[in-house]
Amino acid sequence: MVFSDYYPLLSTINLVAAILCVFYGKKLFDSTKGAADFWLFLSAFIFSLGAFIMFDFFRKTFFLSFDSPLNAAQDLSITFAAIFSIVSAIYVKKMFDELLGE
Amino acid sequence: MPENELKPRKKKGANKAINRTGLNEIAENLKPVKKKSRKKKTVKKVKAKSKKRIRKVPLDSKAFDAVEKTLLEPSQNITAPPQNIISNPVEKVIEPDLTRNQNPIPIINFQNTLKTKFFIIFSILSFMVFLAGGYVYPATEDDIVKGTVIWDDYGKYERALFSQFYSSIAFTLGIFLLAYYVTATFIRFNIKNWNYFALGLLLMFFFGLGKIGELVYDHELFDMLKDIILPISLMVLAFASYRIYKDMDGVV
Repeated sequence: MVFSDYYPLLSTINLVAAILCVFYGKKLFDSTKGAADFWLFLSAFIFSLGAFIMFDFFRKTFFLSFDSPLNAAQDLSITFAAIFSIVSAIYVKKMFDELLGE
Repeated sequence: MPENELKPRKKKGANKAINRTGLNEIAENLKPVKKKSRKKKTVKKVKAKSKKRIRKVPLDSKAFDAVEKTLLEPSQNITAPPQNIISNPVEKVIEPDLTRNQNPIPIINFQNTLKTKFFIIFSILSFMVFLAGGYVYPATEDDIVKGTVIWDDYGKYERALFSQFYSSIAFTLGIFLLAYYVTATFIRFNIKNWNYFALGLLLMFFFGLGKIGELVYDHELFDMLKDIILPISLMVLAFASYRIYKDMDGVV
């Protein structure tokens, strides 16, 4: 059995884990009420990661003929995840600097 | 006698001459030899020096901020005990305002700073292993023919794969930066459950490396690594966000 046979199973596990991530990410955002920008961008990062996994799941299980557009969508979502992770990294430092009064 | 040789001249303007030549220290040593009338002049000079010293140390300077921090949190700075800092009488006059800049975050431990260093060392090591893996397992003929790596037999590049390559690099760098700051802040200040989140981010960093390796090195090997790591990192991230949410639920 080739490893690629497990792709649909792995992508399903990824999807479930990503849905849980997004669910708790949204709860975190709601509980903090977007008070600090860090939570906003961290939630955006988790959501774009969830979108990436969702496109991966659809590409490997249902829409094998739409390989190129779904690949492009995955690239776009992972680029957004990269941007949001960088911005949230900047804001986490800023938030702690404000807390420490520096 | 050398002492007699160093005696100041009795002529007018002798002190000016000493100052011009930069011999102030010698002039100070010779204070007891001077007459009473000249003692007044030396006293004035000492006052001027003390004023200069006070001017050199402003109230809002970083040095006094450091003093305040060490007084507030003596365990933060292990190498510099506070006794040495307030030994200078000029600094004793200005007392630190204890009501200002009170730190709500718990005290930083030396072990927690080690955690940040451990993260950096671990990620650099993983990057080196990734490079070594690429050297040991370069792209095979089969990968090149199939077009799963960014170039083909004729040295031409596929644009779509190139965009994937760049986005993977950006993703890996972004994850690294986020994981670094999460480790350097949340974990350093001993805030609960962020260890899991940082671990999930570190695994996601490995996924990014696998994604880059998939497009450059031996496709199957890095593809497998990436596909195994991704669900694990997502599960760790989901668990971490659940724990953080549960921890914050009662507070916020």
